[in-house]
Amino acid sequence: MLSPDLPYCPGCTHSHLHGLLAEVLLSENWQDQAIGVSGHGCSHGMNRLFSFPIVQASPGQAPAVATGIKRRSPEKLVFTYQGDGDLAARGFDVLLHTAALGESLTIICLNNLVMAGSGGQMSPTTLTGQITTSTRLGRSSSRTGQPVKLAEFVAKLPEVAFSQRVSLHNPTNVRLARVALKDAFRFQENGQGLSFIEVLGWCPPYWDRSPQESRDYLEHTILKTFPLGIFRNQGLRQ
Amino acid sequence: MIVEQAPGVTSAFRACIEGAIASGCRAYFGSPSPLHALLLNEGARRFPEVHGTFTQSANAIEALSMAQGVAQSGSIPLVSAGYPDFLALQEVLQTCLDQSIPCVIAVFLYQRPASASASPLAFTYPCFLNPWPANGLPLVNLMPANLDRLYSLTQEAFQLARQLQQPITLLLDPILMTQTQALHPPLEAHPLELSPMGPRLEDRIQALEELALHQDRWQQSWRHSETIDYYLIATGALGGWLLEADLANAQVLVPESLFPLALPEDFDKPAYVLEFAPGNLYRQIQRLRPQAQLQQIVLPWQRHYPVGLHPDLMQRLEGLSLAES
Repeated sequence: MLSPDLPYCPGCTHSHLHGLLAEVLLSENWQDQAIGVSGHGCSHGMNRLFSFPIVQASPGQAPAVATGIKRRSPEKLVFTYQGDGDLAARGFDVLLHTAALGESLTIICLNNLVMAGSGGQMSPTTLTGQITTSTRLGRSSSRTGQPVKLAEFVAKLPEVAFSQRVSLHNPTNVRLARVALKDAFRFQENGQGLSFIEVLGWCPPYWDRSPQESRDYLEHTILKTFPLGIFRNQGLRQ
Repeated sequence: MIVEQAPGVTSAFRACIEGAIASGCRAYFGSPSPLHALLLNEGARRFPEVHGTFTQSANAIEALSMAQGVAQSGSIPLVSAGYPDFLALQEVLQTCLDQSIPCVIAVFLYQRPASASASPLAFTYPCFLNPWPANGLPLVNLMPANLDRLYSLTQEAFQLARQLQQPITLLLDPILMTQTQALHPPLEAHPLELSPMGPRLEDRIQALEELALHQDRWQQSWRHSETIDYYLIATGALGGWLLEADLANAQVLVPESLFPLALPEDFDKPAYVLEFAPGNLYRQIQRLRPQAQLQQIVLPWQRHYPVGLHPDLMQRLEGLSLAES
């Protein structure tokens, strides 16, 4: 990473995940091979934070841009870094088509259950009953449906090699997330297909909670709806 | 009996794809839509033959996004779309303009007619003539009038994309795309590579201004000014036919780019803009050249067109000649 000064709110999971991503790429000596594609939302300006190239895509189109880069430069490790609003709302169809094309890409989704970049509105992954700026009385399942479980959904798509949901709410899960990120890039390195990592995070300002309260809310409430685990694993070729 | 196809005769679809390949383009993205899909078929066949890639995307927006990825990896891709799909592309196109993404977008100007009498030719020029919100500059559009020019303008589009570091649109007239003609495409070309840094915005604006002053991107029939009674302005296949018609008392002007629009500032004789209903080109040229005294000839669309279009056009022009004389 170019600078420790990150443009995120205090307690935001983006800062933590950026650090983890940089650590994984450096520890495996992948930093010269990596090309990132960032989606819209809070992580919009992350191309200024890393020393390797990061391309800014149109809303929801990051997997398609990554497909183009991968077809032109198959030797590169191409990943997208998107929020749940960008991936599950604007770009859900693009995710489906990219998986169907069988691209060996890594898609990293930071799921903080709200569209934080636009002001904390409901996203497709918002929990039933969760208060957001567009659901003042809580998300109603009768009016706005149920939250989309991304990792489980992606696991059912053809050509997906790896799909896992991780969280960053305690040290044990941070270690698991680090291993998951390495595995995801190794699947891509082997050309085995799409690897998908959903990272559960929190958004203290739009959850209206302190960082500590947000972590507790994630551990005691969100994990009941979004259980952690590996939902698809084809097995790494050696 | 086996009849071999004459090697020189080329369809318009092939001329466009061969022009792109001759420019060094090796990546083509598109999503099928009516009629425009014939261009995809040709690309899907030809690009793998020259060690390029053709990728069929689920929609035109994804196609342009994939092309963005290829362009940011260092080469200039070709994207094609039907006209309705092009209208849906605006968001990604803005991103491409914003980020100086060089690519060529072939737009097939066809849309499903809304009613039986409506024209399927989507010549809604304002979309191609007005500035874009992303940078306040119009997209550079090239519009060939015959297959020779389709082949060469496709190559010119790639050169302009490289020079200006922005998307260039190639407007394909569906009537033109039904034609065949003898062409001699070169056999080999070298892939275009981008310079590591694109030109600064000020340099791009300067290059666009120079391009606007470059007045030879239009075709005209050669007539001495004293022998002509009127000017005829048309684009696409209509323009190509007028050039071939060799009208004795008319000077035919066929602009090959809608931006920059290369037409004289003023006309010393009556000037007619010939186009299909509803006729947006006339209004646009009138707006851009307010001092020019233009008149409009609108051809009503018939369901059997383009079959029978050529004789109808000639009959209309004969009436015009009689009126002028």
